[in-house]
Amino acid sequence: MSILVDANLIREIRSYGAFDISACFQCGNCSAVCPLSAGEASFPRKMIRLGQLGMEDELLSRQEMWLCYNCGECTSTCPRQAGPGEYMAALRRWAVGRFESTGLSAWMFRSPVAALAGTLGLALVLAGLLLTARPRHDFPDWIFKLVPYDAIHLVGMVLGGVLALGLGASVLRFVLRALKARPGLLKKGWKEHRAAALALHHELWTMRRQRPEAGQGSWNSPWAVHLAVLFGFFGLLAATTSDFLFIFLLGTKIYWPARVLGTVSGLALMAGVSAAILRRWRGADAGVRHSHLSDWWLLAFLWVLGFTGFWLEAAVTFRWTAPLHSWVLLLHTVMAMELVLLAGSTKLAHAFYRPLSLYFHFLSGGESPSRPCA
Amino acid sequence: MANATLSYDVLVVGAGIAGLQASLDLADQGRKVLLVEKQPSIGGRMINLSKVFPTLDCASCITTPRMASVAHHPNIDTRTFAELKGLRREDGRFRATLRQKARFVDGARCIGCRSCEEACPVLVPDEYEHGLGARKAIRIPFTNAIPQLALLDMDHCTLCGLCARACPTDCIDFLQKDADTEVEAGAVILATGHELTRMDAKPHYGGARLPNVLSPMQAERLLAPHGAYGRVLRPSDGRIPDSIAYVQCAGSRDRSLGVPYCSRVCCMFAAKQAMLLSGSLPTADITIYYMDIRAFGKGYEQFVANARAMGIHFVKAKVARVTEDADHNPVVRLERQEDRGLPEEVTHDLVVLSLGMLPGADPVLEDFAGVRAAPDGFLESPQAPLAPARTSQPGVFAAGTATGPKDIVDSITEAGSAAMEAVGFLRRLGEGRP
Repeated sequence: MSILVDANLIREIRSYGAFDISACFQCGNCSAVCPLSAGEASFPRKMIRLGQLGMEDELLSRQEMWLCYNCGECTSTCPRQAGPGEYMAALRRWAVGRFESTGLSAWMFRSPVAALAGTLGLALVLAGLLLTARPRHDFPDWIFKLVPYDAIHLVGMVLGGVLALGLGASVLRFVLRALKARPGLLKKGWKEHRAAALALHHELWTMRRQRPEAGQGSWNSPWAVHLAVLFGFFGLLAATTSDFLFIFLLGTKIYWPARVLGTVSGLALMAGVSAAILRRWRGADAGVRHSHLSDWWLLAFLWVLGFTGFWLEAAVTFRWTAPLHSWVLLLHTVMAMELVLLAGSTKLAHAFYRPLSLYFHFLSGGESPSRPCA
Repeated sequence: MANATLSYDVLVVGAGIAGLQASLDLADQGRKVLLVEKQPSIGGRMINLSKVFPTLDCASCITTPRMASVAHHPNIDTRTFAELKGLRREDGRFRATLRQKARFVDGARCIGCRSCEEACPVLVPDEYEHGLGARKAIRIPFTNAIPQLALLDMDHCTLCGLCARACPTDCIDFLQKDADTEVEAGAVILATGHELTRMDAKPHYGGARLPNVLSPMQAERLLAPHGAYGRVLRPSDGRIPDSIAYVQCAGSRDRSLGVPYCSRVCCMFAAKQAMLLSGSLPTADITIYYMDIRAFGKGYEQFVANARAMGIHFVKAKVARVTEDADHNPVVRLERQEDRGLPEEVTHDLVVLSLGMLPGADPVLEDFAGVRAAPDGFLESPQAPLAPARTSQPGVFAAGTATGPKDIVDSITEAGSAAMEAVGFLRRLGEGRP
């Protein structure tokens, strides 16, 4: 097989945050030291090679970049300090950008100015929509004076549709490419699917492939932090949905199951995100020593959302009536909508690509290395 | 100079092969040389080796005559177990402060009979065998050490007095103290050598933790005919190893260790040791895991080609981890660059880490007469392309690995160059234009 070398690809990937990757001379230390690299799923070296050669199709149809948990072992032992771990992270951003058709993600990942401008611009548009779209005014709660409940509802529905279409198209593109590269996956029986689903389920909650020595056992180990955030996310999703379904029948009271679940999940989210921020701030291990703006973006969004969420909870419970609280509601709503709307264009996109990649990985017989590395 | 200060033409610091050669070259031209060595014997690292590349000459057989020539040369005074404690320029000449460390043995009376060593009941890991063997608390440093003077290790001595009773010349002096002396010289040659990467510098390689992961110097002692075991055995259980692996670049070309440079000799000593091993153990599998083979010197490429032809496996792969199984067999994890390039684990009986060369631990030199170090920590050679033996100070010259990693051949060449530079400097000094 002959290939045409495209030297531009590695430059493109570099612009997503792999700034030192040109130092790589392909010694293979990264793949050998990686506790997750095993069997056919060998990375990061091969992924770097594909990038250096410009084999874009091959890269996009592979799942290795999503099998990496960025423990940082490769980066801290790289003889050339080429940052293979950062390269894997950059590769994920690049892939998200490539699967998304508007170019918004690529733009925001590559330039901090663009990321801030995009975030703020979108916030203004959403705030404008919320402040002007007032279909009816029949919800009597004072806190919705500034932004009517129905406006939030309406704008939310529209955004949900937009998101579903955009993200659906990106993810579909990703799945089709993966299946085209591995036609064997289509022939798997339901038993194999069940096993893969089970493995994926365990993996999502426990991140058991995570490097054992990466702060395991300490309160802010990566998997504990991730579990807290994940629980917070799903808990809030369940709480919001049930709240939404039953609100018309029952109204809200703070001690009702949906509200209790929401509060507990919110606390878990805040704890997890705060711990994650702390880890990154301190550069606690090699995996978080270098942070991209998109890492901070997601953490900051989640933290502010959690914080304003509790603020509003308090405002509603204690009947604080200053206009400030309505503005907090506006901020909270705009940021929540932005987070959802940009889910496929920010670091949050990993929530879609990573589980699918892991699923394909388990389905094709890829097992997590059970032997702990000393 | 009317006082009792001894005066020499050249002070040579370090009596490894570079310092020995520089001293001989100077002395043969009629110059008075003082050779100072901090170890108890002259000979440096070379006398510690089994054989040398690319000729496979026995290191002892070619180094010992050099050491003897130096020891018997009328123009060379040698001070062993002495350290340079100060160096300053006065009236165009150098004044050095030397600290003679206490041997606890009267050097003038000791006849090297080893009666004390036989009498001593204390066994200590032997530095000369790099921990593979044991020595007594009082001993001659090694068989062909020069001078053949006993040396008492006060850190381990129990003051039992058996040695003093056994000594036929009554030369053991438990009360001996370090003594400083001043000497004067017209020029200085620094041949202070290098250190090796610490075995535990890269914890992933298990050095200093796994019993069957050895340093290259330990491997030399396994191979030396008069070495620790007298044959090739592995330390954990004394079995004959059947599969031996070399991990190249285990201390060089690794920015994560802060050593970006190539140590130049490791490819060659690994190939040499592999050849010697296949001589000692004809049925053993020997593998060298490398990133690149750098065989740069005269006849070196042919030497490596011979090693390949002898059946030594050269595998292009950077080893990432060395662990061990229940029987203390080292397990290396690597990704081959050839074939399908997948991560794999290979079990060996013995693993040697090809450690790199680090600057000789002598940071005080910077305070001495302003001799600067380069960013890599080795002595700076500001005029490297045309006058590599010159340092940042006129009158101070450098030879051997003091200025950077190099092999024995290059060290000897540079020593000759440093000697010639020193003679030229002395001549100009005599003519009043330094």
